[in-house]
Order: sequence, then C-alpha cells, then structure tokens
Amino acid sequence: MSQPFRHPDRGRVDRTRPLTFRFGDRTMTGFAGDTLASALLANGVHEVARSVNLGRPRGIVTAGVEEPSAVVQIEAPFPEPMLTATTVEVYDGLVAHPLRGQGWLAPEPDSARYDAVWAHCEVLVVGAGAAGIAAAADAAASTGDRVILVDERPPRPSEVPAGVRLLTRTTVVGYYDDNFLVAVQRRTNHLGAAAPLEQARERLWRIRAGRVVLATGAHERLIPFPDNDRPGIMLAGAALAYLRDYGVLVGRRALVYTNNDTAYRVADELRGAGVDVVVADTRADAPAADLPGARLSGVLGDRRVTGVRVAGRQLDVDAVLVTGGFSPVLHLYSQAGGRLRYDDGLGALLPDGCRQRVEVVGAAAGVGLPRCGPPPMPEPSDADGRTFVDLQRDVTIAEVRRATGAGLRSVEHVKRYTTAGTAHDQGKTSGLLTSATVAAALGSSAAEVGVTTFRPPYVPVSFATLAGRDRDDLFDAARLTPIHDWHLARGAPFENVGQWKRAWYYPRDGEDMAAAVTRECRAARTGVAMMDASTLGKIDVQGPDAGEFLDRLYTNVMSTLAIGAVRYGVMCRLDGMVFDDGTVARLTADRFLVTTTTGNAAAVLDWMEEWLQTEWPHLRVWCTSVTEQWATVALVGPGARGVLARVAPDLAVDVESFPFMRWRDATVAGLPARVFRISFSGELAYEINVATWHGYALWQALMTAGADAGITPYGTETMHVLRAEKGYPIVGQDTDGTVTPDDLGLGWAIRKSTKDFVGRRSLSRPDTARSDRKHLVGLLPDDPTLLLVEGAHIVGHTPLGPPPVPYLGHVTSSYPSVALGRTFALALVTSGRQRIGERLYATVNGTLIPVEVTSHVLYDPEGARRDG
Amino acid sequence: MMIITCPWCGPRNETEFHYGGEAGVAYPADPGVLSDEEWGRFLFVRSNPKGVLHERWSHNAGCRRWFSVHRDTVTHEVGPAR
Amino acid sequence: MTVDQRRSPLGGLAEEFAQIAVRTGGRLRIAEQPYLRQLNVRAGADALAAAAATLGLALPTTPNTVIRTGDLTALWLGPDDWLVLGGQGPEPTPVGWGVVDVSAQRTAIVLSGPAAVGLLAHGCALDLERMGSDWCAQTMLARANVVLSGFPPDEIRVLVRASFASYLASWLLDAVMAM
Repeated sequence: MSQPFRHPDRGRVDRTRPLTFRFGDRTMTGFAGDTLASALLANGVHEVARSVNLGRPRGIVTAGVEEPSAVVQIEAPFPEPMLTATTVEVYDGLVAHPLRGQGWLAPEPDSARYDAVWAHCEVLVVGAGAAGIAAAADAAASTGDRVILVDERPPRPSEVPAGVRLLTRTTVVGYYDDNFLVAVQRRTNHLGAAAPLEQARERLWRIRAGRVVLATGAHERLIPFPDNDRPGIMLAGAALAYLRDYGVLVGRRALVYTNNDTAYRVADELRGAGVDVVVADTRADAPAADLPGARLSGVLGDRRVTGVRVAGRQLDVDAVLVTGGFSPVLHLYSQAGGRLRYDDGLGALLPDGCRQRVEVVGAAAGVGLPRCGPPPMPEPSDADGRTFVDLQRDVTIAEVRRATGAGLRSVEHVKRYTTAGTAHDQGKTSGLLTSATVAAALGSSAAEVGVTTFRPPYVPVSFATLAGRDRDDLFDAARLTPIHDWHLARGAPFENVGQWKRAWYYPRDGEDMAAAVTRECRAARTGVAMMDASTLGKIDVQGPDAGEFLDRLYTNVMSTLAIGAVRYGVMCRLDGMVFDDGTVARLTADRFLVTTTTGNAAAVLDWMEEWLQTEWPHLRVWCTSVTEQWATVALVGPGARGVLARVAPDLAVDVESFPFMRWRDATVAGLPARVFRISFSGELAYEINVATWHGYALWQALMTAGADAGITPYGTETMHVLRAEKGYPIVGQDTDGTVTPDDLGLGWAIRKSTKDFVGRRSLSRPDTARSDRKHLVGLLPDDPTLLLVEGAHIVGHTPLGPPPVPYLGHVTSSYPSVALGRTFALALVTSGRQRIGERLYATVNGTLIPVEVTSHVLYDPEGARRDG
Repeated sequence: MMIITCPWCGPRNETEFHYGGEAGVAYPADPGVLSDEEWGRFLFVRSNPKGVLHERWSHNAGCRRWFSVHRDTVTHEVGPAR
Repeated sequence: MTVDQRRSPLGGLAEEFAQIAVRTGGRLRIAEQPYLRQLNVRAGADALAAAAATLGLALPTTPNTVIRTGDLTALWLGPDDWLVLGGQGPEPTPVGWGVVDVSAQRTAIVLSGPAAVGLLAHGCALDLERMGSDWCAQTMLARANVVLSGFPPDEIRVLVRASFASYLASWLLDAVMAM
C-alpha cells in the first residue's frame, strides 16, 4: 500500500497533487506540501542516513531546521550535498540519497541564478508563529511604518496582518551590528526541474531594521539514554508536527519519554489518531504517567526501534518520542550581542538584555514553555559510548566525560575537543545537553557551565547564494578605456591592472607573446609605436596654495615649475617609503595636473584629501580626479615627431619649440588636445590627451596617420620591457613598501633644501640612512638566453653552504630584450650599488644561475635618444 | 555591518568609509627637531584600547570628508566625537 | 562644420536599453544620457556667492540636495564640492573658487518608471524609498561608485565614471532579469 502511515484526513498536504520521488533505490509518492522527511515517514521509512564516524543507522529526529541526523544528498535535478530531509520540499522528479556525513558537489557549474537585494523597514519580525503574527499586526498599526515578517516555512494559511510584507521560505541567518540582518529566501528550490531559469533560485536579503522582534520559538531537546540514536527515536514535538501538518503517523506503538508536561498533550493527540502510547516520565511525581520515575535503559532494534527497556520492563514499540524540555531559539539574539541568563524553572537560557533595538516574544522568550529541569543524566556505565549527545558528530557522553577528565572545564574547549556542536546543525538540539553533561561530570550546574557562542549563519548557506550575481563577468567591476573595443577587435589579450583591463600585446597571425613583444619593442626603439595609456591616474590640483601643497607631498620641489613645464615626482609615506610616482605639469599659476600610477589613482587622491582636510585645512587647494576625463595615447619612437606633425599641423613640434618635459595645448586630428613631451621608454615620445569620448577617434587617426611609417600598437608587456631597459621602476612591482627613493636610485629627486616633505624625517632614521640597504640594480645572467624568474632569490655563493644562507635580495623585473640582445633583470640587492661588477647567483628552479650586477640603467644611459 | 554617521551625509554603511586610525595624532610642527625615538613614537605607537577609541574615518564613497567618532572596539557602538 | 567624433561609453547599448521598457511593460525605462556637460565646482563659504553668480545658479548648501534652475542642475557632493550639470561652453574662469570641466569623466544613465527604485535596491544600500524629491547621493551601486539623483515622479539619474559604465550597464541589464 502506498503511504501506509498517512492518516486518512489529518494534515495540510494537498492530496489532489501526488508527487513521485526517489530515495536511495526506492521510488515513492508523497503529496504537495510534504517535506522529504514527512513523505518518507508516510511510506514507513525511518532510516535515512548513516553516522559519519561510526556508520550507525540514523533516522529523522525533528520536523525542522534543527534536524541533527537526517542529512541527505540531492542528486536530481541538480546535485546538492548535505540537506536536511526535514527542510527539503518534495517535488516531482526529486532524487535523493542517504548520506554518511559528507555529500558531494556537482562537477558541472550551477546554472541557476542567485540574487541579492537590500531592504529597509521600521520593524522586522522573525518568525510567523502566533507571537510573530501578533507582533507584526501591532507594528503595522503604526501608520507609515514598513513591517517585514520573515518565516522559514512555506506559505501557510495563517492570517497575515494587513500592511505587512511577508517573506516565506526565508531564514534569517545572521544578525549583525546596527540591526543589520541577512536572510536567505528559497524562491524556486521547491519547484525542482520546473523552476524557471531566469528567476533567481535563492535571494539574499540584506535588511536594515529600525527595530527587530524575534519570535523564533523554541527547539525541543533530547534526553540521553543508551542507543538513543536509533531510527524511530525522535522528538515528541516532531511527531506531533508530522501528524498535524502532514497527516503522518511516525509509528503505531510509541513510547513517549519525558521530563516535562508537554508529553501528555502529545500522547493524547497521538492516541486520538490511533497510536498506542505509553508515557514514561523521569519524574517520580508524575501522576498522569503510565510509568512515573522511569529510566529508559535500553533500545531494541538496529535499523529501526523494535522495543525498549524501561522501568525494568520490556515494551514492543516502533517509535520512541522524547522530550527533554525546550531551548528558546536565541541564536539571532545572541549574535546581536544579547545576554542570556539560565532559568532554573524552565531549565533553559532566556534573553537578558541587548544593546540593539531588539525584543524577544513568545516561546523564544520562554512564554508557554513547560517547567522542567535539565535533561536527566544517566549514571556512568558501559553504555556511555552508545549514549549520544551530538548525533551528527557521533559525540557520546563517554567522549564528553573524557574531555572533562582530560582537564577541560570550559564548554568552548569541550566543543573543540569533542567536535560536539560543530556540525551543520551547530548543536541546535544538543547544545544544552552537552552543557548538562559537562555540568554533571564537573559536579556543576548548567547555569554555571553555560553554552557555546552562537555564530552566524543560523543555518547552512550555499556559497552560490552568498555570491549572488557577483560572479563571472560581474565578479568584479572591469574598468575599460574608451579604446577597449579596438584592442578587443585586434585580438589583444588583456592584463588586469587593479580593476582595469589593459591591452597586453597585439599578436599578429601565428605570433606568440614573445614574438609580438619583440616586434613591438623594435618598433618603439627604431620606428614609431603607440599605446593606450588612458588608465594613468590624473588629478587636477588647483588653488592659490597648490604649489606649496605639492611641495609638501613630493620629495622634489613643484612650486618652482614654470607654466608649460612638467616634472617627474616621487611621493613617500610618512615612513619614508616610496608611495607613488608620476609627473606634475603646471597648467596655470595656480593649477597643476598630476599623474599617478594606474593602480594608485584613488589612493593618491585620498592621500591628498587626508592631508588637506586633517593637517593643512588652511591651504586653499582643491583636488579633483580627472582620470576618466582624459583619454591618453602615448606616441613613441624616433618616428613619433613625424606622425604628430601630420595630425597636428598647427603645433610646432621641433625640439626647440617643444622640448622634453613640456606640454602644449593643440588640435590633434581635429580634436582639442593637450600634448605632453614625456617618455616612459627613453625614446622620443608624446602623450596625447583628449576628452575620453574622443579617445577612440584619436587612436584611429594616429593609426591612419602612422600607417605608412609602420606605426605599431603596443601593450603593457612592451611598455614594461622598454621602461625596465631604462631602469625606470614601477611602484608596486619593483617596490613593496620597504623601498626608499634612494634605494631606487632616485636620490636625485630628493630636494636639497631643508624644507620638510611628507616622509622626509624618516629618511634620516638609522635604518633608512644605512648604506647597506637593498638597492635597485640590473642583473645580467652569464647565459644571455636565460630568463630569471621574477621573485627569484639572490645569494652570494655557490654552493649554498649550510643554512642559514645569507639572502641578498630578489629579482623584481625580468625580460628578454631585443635592444640589448639578451635577457636582463632588475633586482633589489643588499648594498647593490657597491656590488656593481660583482658576480652573484639567482635561484631558478633549484639551481644557482650566475649573474653580473650592473647599473639599473641598461639601455642608453646617456639619454641620447629622448629627442629622437 | 556597522552604520557610521557621516556628519554631512548622515548614516551610511561602514563599507562606504575608509578607516583612518586613532584621531588626535597631529603631524609635528617641525619633524626635523624630533629625536629618532620621538619620531618613531609619532609614526608607530597608538593607544589601541579595549573600549572606546577616538578615531578617524573618511566617507570615501560619499562626500570624501574626514571626521572623527568615538567607537567602542568591543561592541562596535559608534558615537559622535565628544 | 566639424564632424562629431565623440563616442559615448554606452552608445552601443541603446537598443538593449530600449528593450527593457518593452519587457517590463513600461514599468522601467533605462537610457544613457551621453555628453552631459558637467562642471566640478569647489568653493568655500566666502566664494559661494561669486561662484553662483558666475555659474548662473545657486549651489545647494544642504547635504545631498539638488537645485535646478533652467537647464542647469547643481548637485551637492560635499560641503565645498558640487557638480553642475547642463548648459554649455568652456570652463568658466573662477576667482577665489575652483572649477574643472569633467563632462567626459562620467556618463549618465537615466532610470525611470515605478520599478526603478526596486531595481536599484539589488545593488544600492541606501533607503531609496524614503528619499524626498530633488535629492542626490554619492554611494556604491553594485561595485561602482556613483552619483545618484532623483526627481519626481520616478526618475533616478545614475552618474558613473566612464571606465565603470560598461560594467554597470551589464549589471543593470542582468538585474532586470532578476526582477
């Protein structure tokens, strides 16, 4: 017979909608509204899992999220590991398997969408039981207040007060500072394969609430007894829920084992549904009990309870329904910073004040809970190793006693020693049991022992839900230049520089990266080449005190710069270490344009604002980011002047009219432009700036104008080779926050006058003033074809000798160079400048490569090429 | 997630702000006259209390203004600078 | 006559944006408003009047508010910091205050319709339901810094830096799917 344990008329499942599902190798039916657990129980299936360490058969213990035992693997329609059978809603085509502790992830990517949303309300009520609904109704009576009511269960026919926004299948998983709560809404999980693809499967709600009402109810507790983990043993309240909500009988002959009065209501209602019930009460003074003052001393049956030994008798039963009292659900309250106090009358922890605006109502506040003591502890016996405290972690009373025997006193330490309370359920039904066991072993009380800290999430949350839509292309913001589409069309791979996508190199047919970079470098050194430099950070600094301001931030003097001129500048942090470098151009008497490295644009602007606002508010200076106001194209190489002259016929481009380190306003390719004669390659070069929306047009015009000169677009890799050949450091590659300007060979950029600049005082500290600091130097491998690895360590001897081996530094940049006809590297080496000409060794793949130390400037040290 | 109240823009999520460390550590008028030890203290030594700390924040994603608050490092309660 | 050689960051998405109004039955419209003239204005209290006189509109001194005059709109960005939208012509010459033409720094994405606020709630932490009219705010939308401004009845203008525009447009188009 199908569903032999389904009661003919009780429950709220929709009997007009039968559903077919598979569990293990059995195909079964249930009804719409069933959980996997209720449908299995309706079919008489209790054994649904094996325990993780001991492999013992395990059943269904609860009817909700607190389930410690019935952990299953969903196989279809999409694999999901470790879900509790008590919370999975049955749908047609569901395929699930029993689990032993761990599940498996799907090998293929999850095609479902996930999503997140922010919500704001004046009142958030968690839990739509009677107390929650009453609280929501009260709150909604205040005009204009937004009230959100969240409930973890599917929609129920209960009455939702008018004006309340109800979120069902939604679990609040975390309660953080300032009434910020995070909830997970399961939107289409219950539809199985019928879930519409475009709808987010789960949605993360980030809720900011004026005040919070927690109506989170209470979780029933187990009582420890030997073999208390056998399938067929469950919480008494769960048996009642299966009858009331799903019309399912958990057995025909049940023993109810209790230490409190709720058992009698359960017994009455089960008897009314046709179940034979015997009530064994641990309390001697229990007049309504069939067996007062009873102890359950043994369970018969292995994969399913067949009987019990209780009060010296043996009873044939197929279910044992346990109630060891109730623990108010105060996880969220505790996460919010709420204090808890132990109530002896209820044998439970109750809310005791919180700094946040939160109120606890209903059973979560202890309202309506039965008086009862802590769960009665069995006397130490041989059966302790089969008397379970935490079912999912297979933790027994014997193990808890072993922990206290080893000297552990804190329940937090016992948790870590035994792993009790660390499983998916975080000890919802077992936490107080563990404490009571510890208390009994120490001769203390549960009040003194307390419980372990409640931490988010309240229930397991999948990473996919936390990621939401921030995955694939939206994982991070990709910043694009206005010329991006051209690079893309030309087949350039992109290099990530911060969030920017920068063209890396432009391979022609059949070229690999090395071949492309060689060709691009050759073009820049011998012909004409161009690069999209739009990502360069740009800051407009203006105001009457702008010059003075820049003098205080840069190591060199900027206030003396002539209008029309450009100067290279270095900035230090307060500790004297290089922070950023770039150029400063004076536009007018009280206006400068500062450039920064691509990655530091925001940090430099922040740095400027910090000093202006917090230390020098009297300076009249305003800083504005113009990074994306301007697109920048670098035009580089001996042929650059000719190409510029062609596109800017009104601009005098000869060396005398437009010398190095000057800028000019001009019309370039018909576009309003500002042209800088600066070079990051040592070659004759111009950086042409136009409004961002003109960047694409400028690029195309330069490609056209330079076509007959063989103009070659180049990417960041070629830029790196060209600058490294000249010994120009890159902040963040050749520096790491421990490098001073002098270490980089930039001592010339430190002003001679005594006027202060940020970081100056640090440069005379004993450590920064040492002569044996690491210096930036060049390295030439003896084998000119051998490329050193960036990051390779430098040592002074071969063989290494016994440790500790003196470490002299590391390689920061390393490239093959067509201009030098060989490979080369830059490195930070202890006393590097004093070692020029020496032989050192770089470690590459475990072997020591001999290298010669040279100046960091390897190409055109005289600077003969910059004027073309 | 903490709420920090920007004196200009009002309450915003902490993710809009940048932390600036302990407040009230002024840049010395003339760093050149400080001993190495005095300069080292200015650079590296902060009070780091368990409890209320007077500290600086910048409303980076908003108006970019710097301001000071008192924050309890245990409870994360934030109040205006006193 | 000179040829307009400009290319806006989201010019290629006009058609996809137009589809949104169709798909949502007019509950949401999204369009780029490119090439909007934008001046970043900086002025202390002493120069506020001078700046306003030169610019031709008053600058709001209440945080996160907007003043509109004719075709000009001034957004409060900070206590000495404004963004003036609209108008035309070169950068004015300030005396005792500061100005930078940042017209190409950001592009504008205009959302309107009753579903606009709900859409932005997928990536914006501000309580947009409780904004008044003519408000503005600098904040985060998804992973991009934006300047938001809102105007009756249901228009929200998102100013986003040019380099982030493509990301933000992709994010918005994807968010429409999740509605």
